[in-house]
Amino acid sequence: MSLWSEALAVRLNNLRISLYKGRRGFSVVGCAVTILVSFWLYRVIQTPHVRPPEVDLSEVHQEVARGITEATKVVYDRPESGLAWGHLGMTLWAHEYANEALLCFEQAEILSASEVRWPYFRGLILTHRDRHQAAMAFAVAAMREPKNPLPLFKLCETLLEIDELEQAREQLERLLSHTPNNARTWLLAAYLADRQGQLTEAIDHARQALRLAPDHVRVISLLARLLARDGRRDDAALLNTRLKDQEGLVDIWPDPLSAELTSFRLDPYWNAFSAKRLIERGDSQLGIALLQQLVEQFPDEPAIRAQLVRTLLQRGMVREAKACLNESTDTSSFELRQLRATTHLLIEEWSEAEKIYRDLVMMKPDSPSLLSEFAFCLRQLDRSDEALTPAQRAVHLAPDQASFRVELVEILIELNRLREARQELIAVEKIDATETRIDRLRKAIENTSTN
Amino acid sequence: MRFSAVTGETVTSHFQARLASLGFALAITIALLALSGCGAAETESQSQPVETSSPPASVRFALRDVTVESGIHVNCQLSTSHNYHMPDIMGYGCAALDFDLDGDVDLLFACHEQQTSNRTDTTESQSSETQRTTNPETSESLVWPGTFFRQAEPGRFEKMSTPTNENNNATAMGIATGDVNNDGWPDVLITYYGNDRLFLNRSGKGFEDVSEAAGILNPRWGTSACFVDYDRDGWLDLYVTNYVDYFPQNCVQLSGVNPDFCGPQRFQPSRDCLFRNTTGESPSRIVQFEDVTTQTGIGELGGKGLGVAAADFTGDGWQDIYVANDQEPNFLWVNQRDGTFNEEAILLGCATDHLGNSQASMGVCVHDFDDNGYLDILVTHIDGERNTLYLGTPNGDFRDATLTSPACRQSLGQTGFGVATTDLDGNGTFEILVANGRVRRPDGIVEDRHSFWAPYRQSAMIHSPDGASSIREQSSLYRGLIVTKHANDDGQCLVLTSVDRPPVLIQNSKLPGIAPGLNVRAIDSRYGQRDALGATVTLKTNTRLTIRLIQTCGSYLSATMPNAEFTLKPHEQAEELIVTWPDGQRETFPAPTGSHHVALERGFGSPTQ
Repeated sequence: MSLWSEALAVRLNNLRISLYKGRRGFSVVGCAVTILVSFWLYRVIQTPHVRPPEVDLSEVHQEVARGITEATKVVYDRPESGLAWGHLGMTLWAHEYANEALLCFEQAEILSASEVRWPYFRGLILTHRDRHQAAMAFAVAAMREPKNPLPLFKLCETLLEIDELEQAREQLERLLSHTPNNARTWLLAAYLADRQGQLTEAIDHARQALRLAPDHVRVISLLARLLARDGRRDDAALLNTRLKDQEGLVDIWPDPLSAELTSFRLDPYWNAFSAKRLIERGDSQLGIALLQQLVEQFPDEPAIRAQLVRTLLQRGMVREAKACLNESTDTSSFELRQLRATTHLLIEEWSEAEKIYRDLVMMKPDSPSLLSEFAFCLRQLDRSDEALTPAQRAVHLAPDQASFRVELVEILIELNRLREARQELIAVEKIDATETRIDRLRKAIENTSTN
Repeated sequence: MRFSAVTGETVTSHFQARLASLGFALAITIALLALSGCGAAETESQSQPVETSSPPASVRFALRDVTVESGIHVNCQLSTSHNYHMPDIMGYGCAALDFDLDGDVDLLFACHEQQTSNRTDTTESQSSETQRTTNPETSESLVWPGTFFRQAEPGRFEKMSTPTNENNNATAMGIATGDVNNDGWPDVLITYYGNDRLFLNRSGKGFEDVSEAAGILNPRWGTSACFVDYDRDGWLDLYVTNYVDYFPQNCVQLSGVNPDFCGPQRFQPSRDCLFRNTTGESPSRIVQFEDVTTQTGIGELGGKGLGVAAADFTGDGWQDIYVANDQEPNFLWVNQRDGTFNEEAILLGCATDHLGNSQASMGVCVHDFDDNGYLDILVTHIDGERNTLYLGTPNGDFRDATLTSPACRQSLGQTGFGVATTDLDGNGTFEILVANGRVRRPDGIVEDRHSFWAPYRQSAMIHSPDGASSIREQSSLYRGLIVTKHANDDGQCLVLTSVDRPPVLIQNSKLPGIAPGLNVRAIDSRYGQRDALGATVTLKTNTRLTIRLIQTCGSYLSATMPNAEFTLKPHEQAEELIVTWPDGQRETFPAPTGSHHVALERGFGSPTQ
């Protein structure tokens, strides 16, 4: 019995040990499985369900293709990174792939729960497609950064656009408590009051906006319209005159969130266009600096160099223009050759200019401006007899251009063909009575005739 | 941990962020949906026009393409655009006029059939663009402007101009019609990307190009134009909208992204032109115009004008001029009654949308949309912007009613150009017709030279209170649009031009039992029995006052017959017609009984205050 008992005890003990060992093994396997399942689950959740969008890059500029490819690669490397998705979205959006950008911002918005830019950008894209969806995106942005007025401004504007006046009023109250010293807030308040038929309040709010932003077109426009409706025509007319003068007025609100987008624009032509806009808006220095930077970056893009040269010439920076042209070895660009000829003209290097113009006129025999400039050049070289034919042809091709006729008159005077010169001068007066050279030419005809 | 190491974020925080983000977004979405009454309100995504050829079931009209059987064949479509030449994408207009006064509508298209192979730079040369014939009776050299069709017999057109072999580089754009020499015969102006041309109607036998002799000199890019007697001297003056100072070499294509047509923002705005008709000041009555752009104040501001309408918008008895500008505030040139104009669109509430945004305005339609007796203005826009409806008020200003107009709400995804309104089913409610077609490819669509225009195509739409439907199955780059009467007098005829396809004629046959509308002309007997362009006709019924403008200009690059169309609602009785002549004088005429075509002649009504 005892033996049996002992044997049983040993067996039980062995069983306990083996069970213990087995349980330990089981536990290890279980843990491993749990870890694997967790890891798998983690990957499933973390791996984006949406793959980065595929864009046909075969036709796009190499810089753009490079930028998009690199940004896409970052997303593949870090699919859980909201920032990576957001940057890809910005790169795509900056190059007008709005559909693809939208998808990226959606992913970025999910992955970066506190980032305001992604829902904000999504809202901006959706504004042109579906304003209800845009309002929701701006609402998300506004919740993420309650003290940032930008998403609230956009939300409020979009709610006004979709006629949700009560909601717009709620958002406006938030704006008034956070940002009471911002003209945009008061402008929105004025729009809302106007929409609700509260003309007096609307005028008060618009006046408040005007105090905070006296040079803003939208503020002046709205106040002018409201005052006109209120019967205060004289005050309204004064504001309207201010709008027509346009001197020192601005028409955009600062948007630091979107401003970053421009740095994502990689193609040189777009940046050249931005430079043109800067120059048109009066910021020549910045525009020229941007163009110079682009020329350094892309020395073999003749159109950009041409734009820089043209801008420099328009601002009387002839020496700089010539230096820029000399840096280029491009001989195939018609535009650069034309600018070379113009630069020679401006620094009175007539012979050099004449050689280039002769080639250009051969290439474009129907361009009146080239013909007229060629004629001018020949006249400066005292070859007015040769200049006559291109000058006449320029007038024939563009009979309504006073300046071409003026050049012809100059040549006719030099050739002593005064009757024809007089006739041409009459035509110039008919076309453009404000042409400043008319008096001088008339006197020149009279003097030549007297002599 | 690889992911965390890269981003500096922990797995937990990812989960939390993801859940928080989802929950947050969901909460906001639900809250906003609830607050915005999403279930009841029509959202824009829901309201994208459905591309269907069949109108809603409740609509009682039948549209039929009668282009071929009418003998209209115009070969002006472009198969592609070389170097994205901007005038190519802007299209051309059309006009309906009765040039031979035989009572039938004739048609004119502002294009030259030889242009199809050669639409290039036009600034440097412009040769004669017309087919010349010689009138044996007068030995005058007569021409046919554009591509001209005479309605030889009801419903059948005969082409008068034929394609020529002349090297014509000019790109014709828009048409204006009006009798400039008060001889009773409607004359024609065609605007060009190049010099505009004025054609005098020689007693219905043909036209004479008198552009240079008459002093019409506008070398800028002319688009829509309008004849209007702004100085009340009885002679029609001419307003020409100019678009931008466009030079092809300045249009840098974005080679970084897909090349496409340049937008107007790349070019300087062009100033419009106003030509005063001085024909009446010379005993010989030779047609003469004087360029008064500067002295009238019109030259003060440059816009990017595409559409134009002229009417007495302020109700002071003097004609004002409304200009739809592309991406710039629209103009309302208010007549100062002293030969000058002041731009007051902002003051009068019709310059921008209600939030002060300048929009890409193209076509214009002036009509009394809310039947309150005041003229309203509907302006078409690019996709991403709704078409805007400015409702006229008794104060002489306008209210932006876009948000309450289903036709405008439905237009967000469409790029609208030509626009017109007519009562297709004769139920007293006017439908709005819009010619749509993009000016840029949708995002991400690359150029395909084999089907170059396909990404730009959209449907021409009919907007009615029942919803939107397409005018025809085929989408296109529609541009010009006019509504005129059909030969059989039982419905309207829609004329549509497009960039990529030949123009089409669509006949509307009203179904049986539909009462015909009332078509009204206003004739000024003092000025050669010509139509009184700028007059308004108000119909007084037992329930409402509704007003119509007598004008040929409007829509986009197009001109129509100077008729006012009225239809009655169920149980409505017409009582009288009140004509306000262009000089502000008013006369009342009894409502016609029986006839549905009536010509009201000045001096034959009862003077009214």
